[in-house]
Amino acid sequence: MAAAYLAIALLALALSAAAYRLSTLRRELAIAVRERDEKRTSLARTSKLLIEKNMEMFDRNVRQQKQLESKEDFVGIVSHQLRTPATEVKWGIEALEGELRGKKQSEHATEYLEKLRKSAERMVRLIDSLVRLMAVDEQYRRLSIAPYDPDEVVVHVAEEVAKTFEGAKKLHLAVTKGGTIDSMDSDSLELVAENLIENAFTYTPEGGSVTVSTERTPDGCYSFTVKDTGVGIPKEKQKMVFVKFQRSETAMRMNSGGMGLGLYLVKNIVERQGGQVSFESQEGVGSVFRVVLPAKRRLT
Amino acid sequence: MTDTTKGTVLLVEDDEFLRSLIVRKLAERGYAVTIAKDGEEALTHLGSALPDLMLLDLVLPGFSGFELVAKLREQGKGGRVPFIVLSNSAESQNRQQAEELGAADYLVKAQSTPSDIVTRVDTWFAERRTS
Repeated sequence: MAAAYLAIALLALALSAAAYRLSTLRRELAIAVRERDEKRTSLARTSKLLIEKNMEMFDRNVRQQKQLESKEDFVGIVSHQLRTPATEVKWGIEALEGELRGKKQSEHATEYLEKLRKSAERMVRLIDSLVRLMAVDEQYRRLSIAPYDPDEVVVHVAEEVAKTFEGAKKLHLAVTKGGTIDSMDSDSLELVAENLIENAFTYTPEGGSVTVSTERTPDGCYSFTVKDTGVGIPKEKQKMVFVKFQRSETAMRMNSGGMGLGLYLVKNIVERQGGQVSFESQEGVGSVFRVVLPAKRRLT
Repeated sequence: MTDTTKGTVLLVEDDEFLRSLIVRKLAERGYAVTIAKDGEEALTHLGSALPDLMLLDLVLPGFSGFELVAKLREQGKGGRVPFIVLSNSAESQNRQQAEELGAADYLVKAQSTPSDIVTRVDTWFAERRTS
């Protein structure tokens, strides 16, 4: 009889212990489930955040691409819209000259036509400069520039500009070959070189000369210099050279036609792309303009 | 009467004034000129007869000058029509595309005059004769 009670008591104890263990296990399970649920929620939240960030980046890329495209379109549209009436004026003048050729005219007709023609030419050149400036500004925002030989660009520009002056003024080249650069894109370099070299030729009287030299500096920069034997810049105007394009009386007399980008914009382009431009000038002797560019691109 | 035209030219240009000035100069120099004021008209003309040379403006009402060239390719008719681009749009990307499509030359209207354009046409015909 006592053994049966003992057996039942033991069983009860075992059951009770088991029940206790079960309830502990159940509690631990509940905790584990709660932790798992929390982790799952946190994971879901992180996933959602990542997806949102991806979408943002994607949107930003699309927007940037659209801006780039619409800027390109903008440049294309502006270029076309400006050039259409300029073309009509220019061609109209040629046609008018043709109509009047060989016919008796009022004394002023020829003179007026000539003035019109020159103005039309100047307008076309200004539009060209503006379009190139817009295109260059756009290109700089692109991601990377493939390294290229800057001497090729500078020499090509010098030779082309010299050609347009048909040998009345001599071009001398002093090129010291060196490595490639990627600090300034070649279109910008072309624009800057063209502006400086054209100025040099324009303000140098016939029989004079322009020397374009290039070199690499000891600290790895690329530098090119444009030296002319021209009218020079009067001392009192020198500090205004880059602030505003001002021309002395002599210069204005010499250059009735062209008007390039202006040294202000040259300075702007060069400095924005990490370089420096400087000059020395003496009235009646000539000027020397120097551009220095880092070899590697610096994001300024 | 003998046919003394130096060659046939199709001019595709939407601006009436510019068109009339080129047509006049071309005719003065002895060319037989057909005109089209857009791509659609050009296709119609090209459907009946192929010119020796096409002067092609890029910005046209309807489809562009480049699209016209593409359509001609698709149609595959009579080989390629030689063409010179006359354009006033910003250069570099258009010049490249023109070259890829096989343009004989690319002239910027604002930087040329009708005389310049017709002189270029003369040169093209002269080169063709000697080749």
